[in-house]
Amino acid sequence: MQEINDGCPCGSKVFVFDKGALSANSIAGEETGEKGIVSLPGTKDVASPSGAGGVASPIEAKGGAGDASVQMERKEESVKNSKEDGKAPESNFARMAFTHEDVENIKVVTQGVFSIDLNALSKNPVVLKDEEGVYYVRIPFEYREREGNGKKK
Amino acid sequence: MIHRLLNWLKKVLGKKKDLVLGIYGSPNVGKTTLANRICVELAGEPVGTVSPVPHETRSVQKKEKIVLRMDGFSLTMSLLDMPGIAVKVDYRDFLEYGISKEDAQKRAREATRGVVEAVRHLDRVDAALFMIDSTEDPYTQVNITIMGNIEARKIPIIIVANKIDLPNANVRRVREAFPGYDFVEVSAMTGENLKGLYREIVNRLS
Repeated sequence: MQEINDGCPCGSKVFVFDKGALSANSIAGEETGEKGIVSLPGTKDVASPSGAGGVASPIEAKGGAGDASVQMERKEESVKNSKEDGKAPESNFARMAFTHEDVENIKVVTQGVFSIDLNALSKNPVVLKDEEGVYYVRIPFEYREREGNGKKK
Repeated sequence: MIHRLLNWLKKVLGKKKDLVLGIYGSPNVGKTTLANRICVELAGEPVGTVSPVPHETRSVQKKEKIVLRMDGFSLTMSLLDMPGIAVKVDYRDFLEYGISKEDAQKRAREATRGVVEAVRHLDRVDAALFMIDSTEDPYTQVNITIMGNIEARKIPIIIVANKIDLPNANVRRVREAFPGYDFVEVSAMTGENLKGLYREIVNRLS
């Protein structure tokens, strides 16, 4: 609860509530008589004094782009956790939340899966981060034309 | 005929006008060098720092109320020195200048943010100086894309071929790459033909 109120030490304030995991844990808790912390796959256990479950730590949200082993694990997890319809679980997108420090407006969640900041894209050219320190900018070749009095069409 | 009459009237009346002038171009073509030279000459102080390391200017640098007087005509303008525009920013390009990896990655992030800012400022400038390094091939993706964006917005533009003081400068190649545009060749480093640029700004962009 404290982390939800104060935000994560890394600066992120995005948390994910996995109702499905909570339900599964509740069933398990009823069987064992324990209420424990629910961890989403690929995240570290969050020590919460209130014992609230289903909350993923935002520590993994940004992730070290330079830490290839972490990224590889995440990719493997996302493949394992893919739903039967082939779509990536929502938790993958949550871990790739945009922050005010981000320059890119498209994040590569995993191979073939992208997270898009629509608000930023509506105002800025497309910026894609390949790895830490490497960015690609797509400057549109044509923009809206202005009318003769200088107003945008 | 009418255009000449209007120009004459402007000169006679000494009409002042405010102009927001943006300096655009790829990294390291001399935008900040030119901006500093103009600002020191006309306003008494520079606008930014110059460095051989690309993307030294990573945010828009603004100098307001610069008064340009030429041939009896007076023009007040705000000069915007834009970050260099690139389609790829790679921190590894900075490592060869002795910058640490961490600082280089930070610089790349700031430079990319600067590119975005420069593109967004296309909606805020009244006119543009588009600088090209006359020692390099002018037919680049960035040059053509930026020119297309400026044209689409119908922003008055002057092509500025810089670095004419260097022995391998090829001004004709730049002129032929962008025919039909107002064109000036300068050396921002030595100040060569800066008066020609001022004259062109006053005549074409005011």
